[in-house]
Amino acid sequence: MPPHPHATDTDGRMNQDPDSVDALDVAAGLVAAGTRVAARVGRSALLPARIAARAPVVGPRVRAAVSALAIDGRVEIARGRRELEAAAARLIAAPEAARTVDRALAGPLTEAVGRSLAEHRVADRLAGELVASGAVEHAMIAALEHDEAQRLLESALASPGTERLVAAVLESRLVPELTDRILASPEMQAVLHYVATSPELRRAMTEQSSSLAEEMVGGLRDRTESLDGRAETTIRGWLRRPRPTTG
Amino acid sequence: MAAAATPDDRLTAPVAYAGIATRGVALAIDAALSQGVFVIGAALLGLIGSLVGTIRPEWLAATLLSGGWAITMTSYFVGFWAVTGQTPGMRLMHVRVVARNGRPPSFGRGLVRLAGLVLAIIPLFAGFLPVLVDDRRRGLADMLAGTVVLYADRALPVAEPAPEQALLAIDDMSGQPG
Repeated sequence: MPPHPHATDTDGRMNQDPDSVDALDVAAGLVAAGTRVAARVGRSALLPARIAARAPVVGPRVRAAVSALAIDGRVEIARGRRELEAAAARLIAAPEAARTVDRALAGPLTEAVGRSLAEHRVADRLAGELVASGAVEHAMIAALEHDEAQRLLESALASPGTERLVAAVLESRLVPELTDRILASPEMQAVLHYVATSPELRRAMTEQSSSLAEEMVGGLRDRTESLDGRAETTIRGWLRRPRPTTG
Repeated sequence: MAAAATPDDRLTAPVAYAGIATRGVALAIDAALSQGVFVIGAALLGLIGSLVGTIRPEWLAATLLSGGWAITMTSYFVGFWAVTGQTPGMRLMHVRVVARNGRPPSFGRGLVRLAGLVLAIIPLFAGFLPVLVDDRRRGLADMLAGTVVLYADRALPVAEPAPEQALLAIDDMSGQPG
């Protein structure tokens, strides 16, 4: 794995010449060594107490005292955690913390965090976990059923931007290609074959055709019959002959 | 032909006779159909004849062609008139031709009517002009053949029995037992 571009100064000092000595490193080493010595001394000092706890007569009393001490210790640890939590909350709520975060975000930290997120595929892992847990589905259903979602959808559909987007999609070369693929698909061919061979469609077309022909012939006959009367009336008018009553 | 009755008086019911426009359209449709039948038939026969050889001399071919045309026209018009009283064009226009007895004309009467039709067409269709002035809208062909053309969807002409036939019918009824 390549070295992090924003590695700490400690890493930088470790890569320095081993002959050069930094005072800060020496102080840190001194503290670590002192801690290790103190731990050993403590264990050596408690050795008589452990031996006494195993003794047959004083052992139970020593163990009872140790248990009481442990209970007191747990209580103190819990109290300490609560105080630590309260202190952390006060620290986070302080304006200094906000300013610190603001400065950190203004600096290269934001890019570094983004790179780390991308490098470790944090978004993919989060999305996978959310989808697997069903939280995404529930959130989408809740959002779609909300009245605000309906209002947002209506406003989005009514916006000129949506109109331009739809027009651009319709004018793109994707539409004819998609249409051709749909028309050439076996499913569409099956649908077309079913529709073309359906008895209902044939019956409807036959009825439409026959009714159209009948209407045409009926209209033609009505017109010619009307013309019969007009022509006869005209000629008889010229000849001053009355129309027959049987005509 | 019944001589006892006055034939023209037997069609006394108020029947709507077909006028010149309806009959003209029907005749045009029939002319197109009959000519189409003739052309298709002549083409088929010509195609078959071309496999055998050409007809010589030319006057023989023209005679055969004219004879075929005349037979086709006669069969078409007279056949339809005599069988149903309607050619396809007349059926389409809902008109029909009937004789004086209210029935389709006989084959002989149909031949006379066809001849009258040809005579009416020759002088630039002037033979159809009587339809405009005749009380029963008869043309030259109808006058020659003793027929009339009716609207098919109107009331049929009522043929009133002649007095002699009515008397015979009464005698028959009185002679029957019980």
